[in-house]
Amino acid sequence: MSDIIHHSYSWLLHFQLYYPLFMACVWMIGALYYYYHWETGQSRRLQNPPQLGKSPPVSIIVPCYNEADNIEETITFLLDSVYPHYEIIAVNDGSSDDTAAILDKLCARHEKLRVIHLAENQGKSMALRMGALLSPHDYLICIDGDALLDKYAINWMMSHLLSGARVGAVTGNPRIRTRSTLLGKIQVGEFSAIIGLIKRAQRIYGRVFTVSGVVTAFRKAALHQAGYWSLHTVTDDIDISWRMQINHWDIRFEPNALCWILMPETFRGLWRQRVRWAQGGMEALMEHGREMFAWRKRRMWGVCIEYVFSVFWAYGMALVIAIWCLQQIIPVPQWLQVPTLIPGWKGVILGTTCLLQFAVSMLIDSHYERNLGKYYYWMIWYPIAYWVLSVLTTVVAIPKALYYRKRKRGTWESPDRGLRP
Amino acid sequence: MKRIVINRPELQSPLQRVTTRGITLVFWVIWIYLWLPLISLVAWWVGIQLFREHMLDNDGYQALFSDMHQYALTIAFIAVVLIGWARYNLLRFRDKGNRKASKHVDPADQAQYFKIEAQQLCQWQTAKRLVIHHDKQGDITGVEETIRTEAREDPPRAGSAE
Repeated sequence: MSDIIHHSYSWLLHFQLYYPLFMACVWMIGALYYYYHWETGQSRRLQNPPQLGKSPPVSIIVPCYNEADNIEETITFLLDSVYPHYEIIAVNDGSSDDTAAILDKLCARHEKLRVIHLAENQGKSMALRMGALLSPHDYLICIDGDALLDKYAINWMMSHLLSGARVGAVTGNPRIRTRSTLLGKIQVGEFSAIIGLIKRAQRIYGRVFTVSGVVTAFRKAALHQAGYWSLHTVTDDIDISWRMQINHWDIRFEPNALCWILMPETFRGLWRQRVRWAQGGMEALMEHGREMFAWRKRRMWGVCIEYVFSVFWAYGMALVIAIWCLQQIIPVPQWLQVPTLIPGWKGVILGTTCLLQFAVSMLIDSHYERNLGKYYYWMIWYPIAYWVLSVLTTVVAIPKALYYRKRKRGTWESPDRGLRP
Repeated sequence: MKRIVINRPELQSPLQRVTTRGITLVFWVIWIYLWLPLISLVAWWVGIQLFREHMLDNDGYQALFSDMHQYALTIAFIAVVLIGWARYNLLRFRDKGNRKASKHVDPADQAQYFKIEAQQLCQWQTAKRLVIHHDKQGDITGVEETIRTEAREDPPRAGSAE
């Protein structure tokens, strides 16, 4: 029995090192293959979206909660879109600031804008549901009330929805606007090196873990079949992604569909956001985990296994760090001792792999944003920040997900939106 | 129009700047820790005797070569599986829409799902401005279709969250 425990512990120590190393390789190889297969070629320039044979009308749904500082700019960008047939539905979710008044003013001024006021705050999922319900069109683009959509983005996303009958959603490419602080700069790297790379690699598995809640196009038929956004989850985007894909709808990633977003630039803001993301992942797994055992759902196995391993890794890492700290204070049995947190040559290889991952992501991302190379300097901090933050937020969020499951409706939290002039 | 990217470090308070610089320094130190063997290697080069002792006499290089060999094999395996899977799917689903998408969602189906009248829904779907009321369960309890006039009615204010 003790042998089994010793071997399991030894295996755990190896897993803690090899998981981030080989996942980085999986992401790099998957993303590079995706890039060279789908993203290269002169015709894929941002300002040169594919010619669409037809342009069916689209509803852009903008859920807003206390967006008085941002909503006018968001709507102004939307009105600049080059797509020929679209309307904007702004859903004011019982804001307590001047959002309602600003929207009413804009509504009177712009023919394309419709406004829905929810009498009481109901949460983002409800705002999106109401937008989808009151849209007369078959295609929806959902963006956050503080995000700026590139004028070609709708064309790029619609090209997927019109070209494949199985495509239920297209997730865009969020770009960070707030880059004043160290956290802002780290997140610029994160969105390229991690999120962009992972989305591409997951498209190679066949299924994505989540769409970007900040910018996604949906086919209404797919949403209706999946049951729209859940009212009982803290992250609407993860849940709807899983339900659509479980119902055999494809989700695609369109890197040319740029959407400029505000992100937290304080530790508190970042912490709250990441705990919410981690909690949302576990909620999706608890909600749909059982269905995954069916053979017909096998295409979800890749993202499912990846997620389970990431949670296991986070808890394992917390345990290893705790034991390492403990052994500095009191004697622990020989077999339990952690020799070192980052062992010798393996540490060199791990560190080099991370830098290589950044280089690959920069290479791919330079296609969509120029002068991104200057952020490489800042990205060196990212592995530490990302992995440590992942461990802490996962450890905190999983019990929250288990405890709060379906106890209350998800409502808005006004996020930290970075430093603004 | 404002510049899209907001890069204004001077907007931070002095405390924030000092804090982030401090954290940056900590990150640097941790990162350099990863390269300790390489740094040691450079140091050993300076003292050839120590280098020889560690790398050659004690077979220190073997650990590196052994690791590199295993990594290369594992990475090759990952590449073959991933790219093989991608190629397989491309071939399998080439020119195949495995099913027809239902192109249109009937407002009657939507109305049934959201427990409202289909006729009303069709009307609301073309309204310029609406105010919607919900109950505690999230069901729609009332919809006011309001037409904007010069004397605009007061916008709704936030009520209590769930």
